[in-house]
Amino acid sequence: MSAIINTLASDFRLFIETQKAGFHAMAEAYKQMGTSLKEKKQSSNVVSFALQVPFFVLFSPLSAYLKAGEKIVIETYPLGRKNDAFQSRLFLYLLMVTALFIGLQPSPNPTAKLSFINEVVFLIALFAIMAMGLNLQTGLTGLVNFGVIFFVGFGALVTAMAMVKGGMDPWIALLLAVILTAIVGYLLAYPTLNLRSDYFAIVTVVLGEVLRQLLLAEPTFQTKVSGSQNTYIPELPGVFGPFRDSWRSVTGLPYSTFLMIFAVFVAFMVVVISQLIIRSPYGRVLKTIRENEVVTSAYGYDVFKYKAEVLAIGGAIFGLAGALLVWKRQTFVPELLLVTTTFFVWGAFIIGGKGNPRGMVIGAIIITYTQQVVRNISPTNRGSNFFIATLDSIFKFLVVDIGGAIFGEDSWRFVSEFQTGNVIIGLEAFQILIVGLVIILFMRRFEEGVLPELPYIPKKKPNLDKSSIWSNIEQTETSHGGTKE
Amino acid sequence: MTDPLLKVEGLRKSFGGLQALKNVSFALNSKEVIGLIGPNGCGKSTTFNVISGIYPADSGSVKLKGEEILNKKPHEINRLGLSRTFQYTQLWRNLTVIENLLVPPKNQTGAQFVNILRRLKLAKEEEILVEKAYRTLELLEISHVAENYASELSGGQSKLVDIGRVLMSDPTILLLDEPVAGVAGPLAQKIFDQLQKLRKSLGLSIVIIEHNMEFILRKGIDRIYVMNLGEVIAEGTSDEIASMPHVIEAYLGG
Repeated sequence: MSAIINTLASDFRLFIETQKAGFHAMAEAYKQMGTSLKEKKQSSNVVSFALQVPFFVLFSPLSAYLKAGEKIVIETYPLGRKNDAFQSRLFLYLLMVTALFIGLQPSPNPTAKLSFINEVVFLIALFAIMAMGLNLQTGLTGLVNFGVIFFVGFGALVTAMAMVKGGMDPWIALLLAVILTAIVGYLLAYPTLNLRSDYFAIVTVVLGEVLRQLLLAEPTFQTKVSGSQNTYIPELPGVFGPFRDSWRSVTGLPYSTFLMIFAVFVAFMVVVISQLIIRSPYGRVLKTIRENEVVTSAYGYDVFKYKAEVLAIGGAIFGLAGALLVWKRQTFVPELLLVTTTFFVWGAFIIGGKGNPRGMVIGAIIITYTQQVVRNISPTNRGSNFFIATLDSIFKFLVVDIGGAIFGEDSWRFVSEFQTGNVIIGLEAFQILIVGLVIILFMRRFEEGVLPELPYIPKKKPNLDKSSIWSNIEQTETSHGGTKE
Repeated sequence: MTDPLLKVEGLRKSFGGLQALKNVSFALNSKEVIGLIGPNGCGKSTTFNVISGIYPADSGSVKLKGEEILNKKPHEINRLGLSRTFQYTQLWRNLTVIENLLVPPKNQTGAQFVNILRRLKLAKEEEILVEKAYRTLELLEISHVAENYASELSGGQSKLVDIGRVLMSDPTILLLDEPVAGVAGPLAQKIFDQLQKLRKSLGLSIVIIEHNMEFILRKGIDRIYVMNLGEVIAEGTSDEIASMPHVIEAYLGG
């Protein structure tokens, strides 16, 4: 117990120190800003100067703050964020901060709050799972996969078909989705793995779109019956039906809370499996394939076999994500298979840091939270918040003044709907733009991701006596010579 | 006399219209060090690439302990005990040096996906391999960079790590493609001495490609094959080679 308090205290001290150094550096940066802005004003034209101002006002002090903080950290933990001990602490603290943020999210009533938490945490877990599948394939093995949504969609399709058309238990459907997606991944290796990596990437991009178009054209594979009504996929019937009922009566919480907890559990398990793979000799071989596969094969490893296995393992993880998606949405329509999902998963992958499962979780948090915050700022749950009022006026300026001038009547009609409340619009329209901006901001400062890949350093260094090595060689030499003669 | 360990006969390989190898034959006996020399573009590295299975050959035969290995996959050939280095040092750059050395050892339990849960056994194996890797690095006098990324090393250090990596794979036959190019003179000498020692202690058989003829003639190599324009034009001991007029002609361009 006292050990925990001690570590917490020392971490807190380190935190205070980094903040001190960070804010000091920030103040310095602000002091220097005046002179550097003057120089810039003289040397550049009006437009480029105007574009540079936010960088100087906002980003360069922020960058100075982060750099100074990192310098302090490196004094205590060598390699900074690439230090395993520091990284695991940082990860835990980031998780706590996330929990705090989600818990403090303002909402009109407890029910809305619970449903917000269910939605956000579920999506974070789902994106973390998908990002970890991508991490195994792209981050570790170097197979560039732009077809995340193909695998996820296939898993979702299998789950939906098994439950609705096959009448199977949802848990068996989930298992079937995992197995079949893994098999599809493995079989995909045969036609594609002889391609060079960029061509493999193109194939994967196409696959997702092919699946979506196929589903649009063929109603058999939709859970939508002809006409307008969707067939909703039942909530966990079968052997787990009684479990669901008792869950409701005992905890008094909705089904989506159970799903959220289950998704977090699955994400946790996938982190554990990913860590097991990355820290084993198996993961090491995968990394060498990423770095230079010709050399890997020259050292006795069947590169094709490893790549096919990784496509299968990653496929299984994607299949799991697809099944969860169907359980959550309770329907399966081709519109679920958006290319933007692949884009968001890649965003989480890049922000988090390739080759690092913990990083995938952080990346998923950042991407999902940005999306959700953006989506949640809508007229229905607006208050007289200064921030939101400002956003509203910016939006009105963009749509009414500028948009009206360019697009004329359409824009005006849109705005009148907006003002009567028929259209819920806020930042949501800018969702992709904002997520893109977040990715750019993170990449500027964290080139290798927030939690970069850890270098392998053996925990126990062997105790080597210098003389013993040489005598060892000498001894074997004489003993060999002895037996020969 | 028994069959040679590695027997290469009538190897042919062309890239489009370019006939890289016309007729390459040589033999390597057990515990022997032979040299493969020749001017630029004579097919030395191509010979290695064909033997180790990276390029398919057009025709010919490569026998390892009497078994035909031509056109087998690189990893199958490596498992038979033949390891090689590359002319342009190709370390796995974003891995640490020690990690580079931990991949080559054969038959690692943890290299199969099904075994990743056997933590205890893996930890035990890892401990042995880590010690072996550190010993290898000590031998090559670069143990101080063990925890650095391979991409941070200098050219000479990379060469040494490459040699360390090939030694970690416990080969019976070593194909070394210019092992000391870019390594400082005294250290190059030391590497050659170490290779001679290892040959005796581990029973290695080594084929060395070396561009610098002056250098290789002084290194106590058993036999030397001289290549020119995709053919072996001469064979003999260092002294014999040094006195052959057509060898000198090939090198100096007559």
